[in-house]
Amino acid sequence: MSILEAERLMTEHEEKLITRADESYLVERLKKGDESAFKLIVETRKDLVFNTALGLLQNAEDAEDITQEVFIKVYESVHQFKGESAFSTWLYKIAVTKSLELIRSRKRKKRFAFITGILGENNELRHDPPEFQHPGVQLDNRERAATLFNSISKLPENQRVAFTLHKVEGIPYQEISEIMQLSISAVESLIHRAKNNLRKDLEIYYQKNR
Amino acid sequence: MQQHEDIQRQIDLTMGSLDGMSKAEAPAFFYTRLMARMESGTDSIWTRSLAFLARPAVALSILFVFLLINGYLIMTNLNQQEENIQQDYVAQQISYFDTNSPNP
Repeated sequence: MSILEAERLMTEHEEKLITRADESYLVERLKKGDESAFKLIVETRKDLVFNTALGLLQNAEDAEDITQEVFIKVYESVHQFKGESAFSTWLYKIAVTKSLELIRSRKRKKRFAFITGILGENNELRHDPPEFQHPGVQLDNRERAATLFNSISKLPENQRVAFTLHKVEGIPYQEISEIMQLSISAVESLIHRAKNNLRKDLEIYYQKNR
Repeated sequence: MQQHEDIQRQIDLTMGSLDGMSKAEAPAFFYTRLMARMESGTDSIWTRSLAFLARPAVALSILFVFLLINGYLIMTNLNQQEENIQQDYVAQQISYFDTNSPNP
């Protein structure tokens, strides 16, 4: 490792320390009811929460709704945050939980829609979302990314969360293990299985759409 | 063989389609909308209570407790009825023997 690289890593590490110290200071101020601290937390962390929710929900309106709910939860239950993990980890946890709750409720509604379909009320599949286009994907990859997101939405819950956090939000395995309260090897296994399942699903897709 | 390789190449490209993607940003005026939602207080105590009761785990637990209480009440009722029948039978037997026994 070169001296320059070491210096860069040191600076990044210090920046993280400063950020964490700032965060705990802001959290302490928020616990005392300081609204300017809340505003600062929202302004600096809204993209993190929104991007996580968007990756999981694959719908911008739902993602904004969940992002709002996450910050409302933060405001109401900041006293429960003990500082044992990073504040961002706590935010990720809330964002993942809220997003999964919405996904489950959508699935229940979809099942109900299927029943109403059987009963002959309506034959349209209104509850199926349109193809998702993530705004951060490079233009020439849009179509492929949409196909991949469609396959991601079919993954089992845990695999979907681990894969999305790693691939869309770029979170390292260590932090994903803290967010999902699993061991690092369990996270590695989840992502490995997710990749295998995605490859299988994509194989079927490309065989059908040759 | 060629088709299989072609499909594998397509899969590799699709799997790598998220590489180098940038992060999505929250919509403009997010904080303003958040504050408006917090001030409107749409999530009243009733909404929250209903949302809590609508959770599958809670709803199933309530149903289970309800069935348990129902089962308990039915069982105690049946036992009570059996006891009553037995008591009636004993009372009938006593009165039968009382009426049929010769007077001293």
